[in-house]
Amino acid sequence: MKFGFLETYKGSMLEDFYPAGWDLKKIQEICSHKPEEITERQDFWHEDFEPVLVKTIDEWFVKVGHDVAWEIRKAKENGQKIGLILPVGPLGQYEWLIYFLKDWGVKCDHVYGFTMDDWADAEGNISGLFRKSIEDYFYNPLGEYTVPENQREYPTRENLPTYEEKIAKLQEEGGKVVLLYGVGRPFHVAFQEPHWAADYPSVEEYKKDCYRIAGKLHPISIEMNSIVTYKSNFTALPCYANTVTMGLMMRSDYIIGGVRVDYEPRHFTQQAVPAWVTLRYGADLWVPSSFLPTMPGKFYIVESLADLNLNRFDLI
Amino acid sequence: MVLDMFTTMKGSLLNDFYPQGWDLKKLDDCCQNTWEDLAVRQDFWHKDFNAVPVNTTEEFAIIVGHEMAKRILTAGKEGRKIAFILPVGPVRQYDWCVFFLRQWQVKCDHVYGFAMDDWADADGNEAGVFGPQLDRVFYEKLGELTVPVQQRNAATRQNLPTYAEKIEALKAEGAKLITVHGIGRALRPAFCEPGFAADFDNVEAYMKETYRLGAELHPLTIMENSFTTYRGNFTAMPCYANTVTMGMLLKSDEMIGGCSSDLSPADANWQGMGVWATLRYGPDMWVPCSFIPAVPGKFYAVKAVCDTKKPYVPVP
Repeated sequence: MKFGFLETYKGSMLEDFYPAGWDLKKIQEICSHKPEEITERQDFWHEDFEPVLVKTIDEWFVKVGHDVAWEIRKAKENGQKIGLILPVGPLGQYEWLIYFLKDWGVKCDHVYGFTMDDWADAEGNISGLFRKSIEDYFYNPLGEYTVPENQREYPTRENLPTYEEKIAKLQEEGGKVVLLYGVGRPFHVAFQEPHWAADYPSVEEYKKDCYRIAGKLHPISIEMNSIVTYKSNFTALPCYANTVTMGLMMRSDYIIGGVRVDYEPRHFTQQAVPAWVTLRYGADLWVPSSFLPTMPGKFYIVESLADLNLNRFDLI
Repeated sequence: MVLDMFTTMKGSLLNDFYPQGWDLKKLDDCCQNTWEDLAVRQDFWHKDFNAVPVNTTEEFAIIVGHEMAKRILTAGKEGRKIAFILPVGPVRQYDWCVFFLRQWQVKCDHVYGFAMDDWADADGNEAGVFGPQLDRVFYEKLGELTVPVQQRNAATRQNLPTYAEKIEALKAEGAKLITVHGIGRALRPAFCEPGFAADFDNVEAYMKETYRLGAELHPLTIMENSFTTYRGNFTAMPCYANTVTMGMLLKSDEMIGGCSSDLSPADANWQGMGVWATLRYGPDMWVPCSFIPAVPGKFYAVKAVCDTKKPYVPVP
């Protein structure tokens, strides 16, 4: 193409659309890499952070589910408590997490679950939808092995502010905290939106913040969720969320998650660019997912997502 | 209280995001249908407009391709010229149109093609993507039967303004004008954005415009195309387009197209609202696709894409 976004966005309807702190040139450069380069280690990665390619979304769910189950099992064997910061998207890993725990006979009375987010109104009253989903997909199917009800935490207006203290206490007692995550189209984890960076004078201040009640969502988040869950009817989505923020997530001892959705057969995707940006941008508070590689853990990638030119008709 | 856009939009980042003339309540109501409702006729439909459910994306492409080929065959037999306004999304129908024409050995020297749009800069200099793409996916595949090069029109800065006159001349000679179309996320065919409506006092004035050079694109359109074509890389696209507008499209003797982008194997849907805004909203210049039923034609929609009805539940 003779020209692209960078040559035309000034003065257009897109000029102020993307979060102000995004370095668009850097994102464009990141998108120029070859698929086979995606796992090349970067200076800013934690030595125990590892990107892992998988072939299919089913493999992604099995391996993520397995790794979380293994952490739960290890904690049990070590006599530790374990706190899990849990997403509602993705959900498919819970089926395998349950499979392995039941097969291994691991009872989850040492597990503490912290649901990472939920839709909310402008006052922070939550929808309760994410609680129901976690119960339906994880706690209830675990049956006799399940997490005790008083160890299940939800991001209500009253309870979300208590997560930080509860997690600190778990860690003080020798417990481990594991973050289970996906990465969204605005390069966010949970509903930690990129434009909230404008509220912090420094990365240090950013990291001190552990939650947000009634966080304003970016239209990119609304559009992403509209496609994924709401059958394109954006009017059904609320415009706010309660969520843990990177400050809390970065207190995790280990992270397990990644990107997985590449719609067949034409390879429409919302997650190929987030995969690359997470791994290459370098820690920046305007790009929440860019902090993930600074922590020990695994970043699973459905391998087709590494190819940013797949099925692009303009390049054929 | 139900948490949705209606109860949370005010004061949010979504408040001024959607085109100002969109009646969001009406759009939500439009979405409360299923594919079984597709063919239910509405007062504002032309008597020769029909909505037809199809089972798969491929069936959509076969049928639309066949409809194109039939009209080319018939026009040839009757000694008439025939003009098409052609999209670059969707494109799979061209494979089938070519298949039928080659099977029937129909020479296309009576066919005139008008590419409906192309990416552009703010001055209307075309990116030169869609014209060559139509050559590749349609004209060149026809081989010795193909449309003569001088009868292929691309939406360049110089040529797009001549479409109306050329099409009028063809019609004066007895040619029929057929538009082949999809429906975009911003509820429009071609790049005829909903925001264009703000430039007109009434529908009559709106219908006098037949094209736009260097048209400003809405972020919904950029997000849609980055998702469907550019692997999520929004930096690959310019923020403007050259396009035919509804004033030109509604001069068609028939419009053939619809919504074919089925993501249902992954429980996702980006085009469903486009189906129902087209068929139920009623003519309104803020919703360009709403005029399509006012013209004779066939609107095909993949059943799964029609699935927009509540309730919406999180999916794995």
